Amino acid sequence: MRIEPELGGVSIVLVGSFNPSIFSPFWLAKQELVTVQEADAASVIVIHPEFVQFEIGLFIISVEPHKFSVECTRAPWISLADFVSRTFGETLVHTPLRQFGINRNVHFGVGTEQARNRIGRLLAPIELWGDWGKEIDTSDPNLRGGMVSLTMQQKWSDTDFKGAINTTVQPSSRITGNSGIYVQVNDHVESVNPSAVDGAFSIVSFLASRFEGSIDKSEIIIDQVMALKDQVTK
Amino acid sequence: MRTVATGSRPAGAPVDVLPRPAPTAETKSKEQNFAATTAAEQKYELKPNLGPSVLKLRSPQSFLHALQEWEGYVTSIGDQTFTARLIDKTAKSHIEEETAEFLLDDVSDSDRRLLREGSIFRWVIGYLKDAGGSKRRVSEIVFRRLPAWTRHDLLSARARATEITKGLAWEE
Repeated sequence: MRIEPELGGVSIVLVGSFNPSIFSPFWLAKQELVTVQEADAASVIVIHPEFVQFEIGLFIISVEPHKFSVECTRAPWISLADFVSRTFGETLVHTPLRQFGINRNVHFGVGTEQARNRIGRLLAPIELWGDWGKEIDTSDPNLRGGMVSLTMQQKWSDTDFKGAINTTVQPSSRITGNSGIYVQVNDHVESVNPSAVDGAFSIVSFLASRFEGSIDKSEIIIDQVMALKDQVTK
Repeated sequence: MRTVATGSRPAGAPVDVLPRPAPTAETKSKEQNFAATTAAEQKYELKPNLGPSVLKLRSPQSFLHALQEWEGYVTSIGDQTFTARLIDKTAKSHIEEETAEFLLDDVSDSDRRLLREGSIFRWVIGYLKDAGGSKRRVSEIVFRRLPAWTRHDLLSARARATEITKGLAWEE
């Protein structure tokens, strides 16, 4: 990526059937999915029969009855894929999983609020919005009207799986000076025949084989958005 | 061969709860919304059925952006160092091109039990930004905790690549 991100990370989200109450730092340690030291140092955020969230090692794990997510803000990102592979490819291999998402997100700065606004105008030209566009363009700059979110999607399908790559661009809420952009690439995958899903191994092994290529592609897409800074500042 | 030193790995800090715009658009069609189920959420909202507030705010985490990343395969272990063959992941290489020597002290305590001949690790050099916003250059070694079926595939691929490389050397 041509601009060093200020913040960012990767997450894996699984959609299926989960029992949140079994997921705890000490259960993970007992299954040798994390170390005892990591379990001892874990920080529990929420423990509830229908929602569990805790930090353990470099991961934040969240579990709901139909969604499991693990996120990390420190490279190497492959550690996430390895953790999911072991948890659902070995320990909880009978978990019914129907979908997964590999998400890469970054917050990066473009220098000035004006540069960010120009990038927003490139992605969502204000002229196309007629009189309303003119109202937005001439309203108080402190109110910051214009593009607030844009998503592009590419779909694909093969024999066993199908999915879509969804890239969302928004103003960054984390970078000061209104000069930041947030980009998330969601690589969504689901079984072509969800009724035939029997456990987690098939979809998890596909996730493992796809993971690094997905991250590489996400970073190429993110870099394409970053390149817009050169267009508006030359 | 080169010897490298790694930086310390500070303990992770809790994460900020990010503001999320309140939804104002009408509900999208199921077809358009399916991808949202696997996209990451920027903020955890309080679930209605939790009753009294039990959500603790997450404070900012550290962030490590990799400038360079290698995958390493441990070939030998000495008294104070270990040697590994490296694949340059940043350059999208698939062939072991370099050999490097690392200090045993640079391996974290939690990873030390994973260090043995044949172990696979990632070596990352990059910028670490901590929760307070300060930034420094770090070098970290993280051993991969692989499922048995992935480890088998990786070792088989490595063996095939080694055979191909030897075959090419003969032809020269």
